[in-house]
Amino acid sequence: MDRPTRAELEQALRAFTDSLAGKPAVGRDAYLLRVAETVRAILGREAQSGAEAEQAENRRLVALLGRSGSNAALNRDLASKLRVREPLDRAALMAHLKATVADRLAIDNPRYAES
Amino acid sequence: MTATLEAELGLALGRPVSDLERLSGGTSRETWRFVCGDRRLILRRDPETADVPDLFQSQAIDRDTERLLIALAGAVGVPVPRIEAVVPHGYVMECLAGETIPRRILRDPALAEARTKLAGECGRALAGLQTLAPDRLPPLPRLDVPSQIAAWRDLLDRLGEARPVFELAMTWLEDHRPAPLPEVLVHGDFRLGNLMIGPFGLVGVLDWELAHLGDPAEDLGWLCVRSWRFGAPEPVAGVGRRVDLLAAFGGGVDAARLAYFEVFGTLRWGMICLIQVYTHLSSARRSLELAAIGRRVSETEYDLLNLIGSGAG
Repeated sequence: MDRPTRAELEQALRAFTDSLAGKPAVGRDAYLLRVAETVRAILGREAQSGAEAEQAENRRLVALLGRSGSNAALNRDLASKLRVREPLDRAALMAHLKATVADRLAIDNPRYAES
Repeated sequence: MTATLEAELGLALGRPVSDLERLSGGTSRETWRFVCGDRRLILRRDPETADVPDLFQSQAIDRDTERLLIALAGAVGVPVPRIEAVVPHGYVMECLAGETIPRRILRDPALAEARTKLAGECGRALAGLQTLAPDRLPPLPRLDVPSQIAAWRDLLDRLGEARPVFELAMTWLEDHRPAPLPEVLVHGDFRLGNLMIGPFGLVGVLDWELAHLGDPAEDLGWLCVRSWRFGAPEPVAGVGRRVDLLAAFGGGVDAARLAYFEVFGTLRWGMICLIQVYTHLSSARRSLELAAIGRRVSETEYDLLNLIGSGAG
C-alpha cells in the first residue's frame, strides 16, 4: 500500500480546501491550488484502476513467493528477501517490479513514463 | 512579528530596514528579503521557537556552519551571495538578481545562452568547491555510501515501509560501489531550484543546508537525477550533456562513477520523498504539498528500475 493512501490523500486535500474557506488563493496558496488539482487527478485515476492494479500485484507476488497473503505482507517478505540477497527468479522478479511500478505510475503521474 | 524583526535588523545593521517579506517556506531555516538603504538584502534566520520535532534526524547543518561554507565557497570562486553581516538568530547576505524557478530557467528565451553554458559552469563550480580541504572546514556530517545505505535501511524499518525496488537498488549500490576516493565537501542539494541563473549564466549556488563530506561524484550525480530535469530532455539539469559536465569538472570522476552516483541520487530522492510523507502523516507538519510528494516515490522507482534493471544484478 503506497503512502499516502487514498484516504490519507483525500484527507490532506480536504484539510487544504477547508483552510482556504473561500479566501482568495494568493502566493503559496495559489501554488497549493495547483498541487490540489494534481492530487484530485491522482485520486480520480486511483478510483478507476487502483483496485485492479493491487489485484494484479497480488497475483504476481503470490507466483513469485509461492505463498498467499496481503500485498503488505508479501511486499514485506519480498523486501526482506532482497535485502539478504535470497536467490529469486531474476526475470520474474524484474517483470513483477516493472509491472507494479508501471501500474503505480499510471495512477501517480502517467506522463512521467511517456516522456 | 515583521515590524519587530525589521526593528531588530535595523538596530543590528545600523540603518533602517523596510519591506521585509518571507520568501520560502518548507525548510527549517527561514529566508527573508528586505530593503536597507538603497539595497535589497537577504536574511537567513532560525525560528526562535523550535520548529517541528525532527522525527527523522535531518542532517541539516547549523546556521553558523552554513554561513561559513558560503563565505569559504565564495573565496575559492564558487558563485555565491556575499555575506554582509551577522545578526541575532541569523545572518544577512547580498540579494542576487536572477531566476531560480526551474521551469522558467528551462524555458525563458532570455536565458537561452545561460542554458547552453550551465553544464560546464556547474562542473567548474563543483571543482572549485572541492578545492576546499575538508580539514580546513567547520565540522560537517560524513556521509559515505555504506553509512547512507545503513541509515536508509534503518529508516525503512522504523517506518515499516517495505519497498522492494529500494531494497534492490541498495544491494546494487553495495555490489557496484567504485573504489572510495578521499572525501570532499559536498553541497548536498546542487540542482535546479537551488541554482540562481542570470542571462549570462550561473550567478549563485544557494541552499547549503545539506552540505556534508562525501564522494567527489555525489553532487555531479545528483545534478543528473531525472527529477531535477523537470521534464526537459538533457541529462544535466535538463539542459546539458554529461560529457560537458565532466570535462568542465576537470578529471577524477569518470562516466561510470557519475552513473553510479546518479543511481545513488535517485534512491536518495526517493527516500527524501518518503520522509516528507511521514513528516506529513506524523502530524509534525501537515501539508498537502508534503502529502503529494509521497506519490512521487513511484517516479524514483521507475527511474531506478531503468537505471539498474538491465544489468546482471
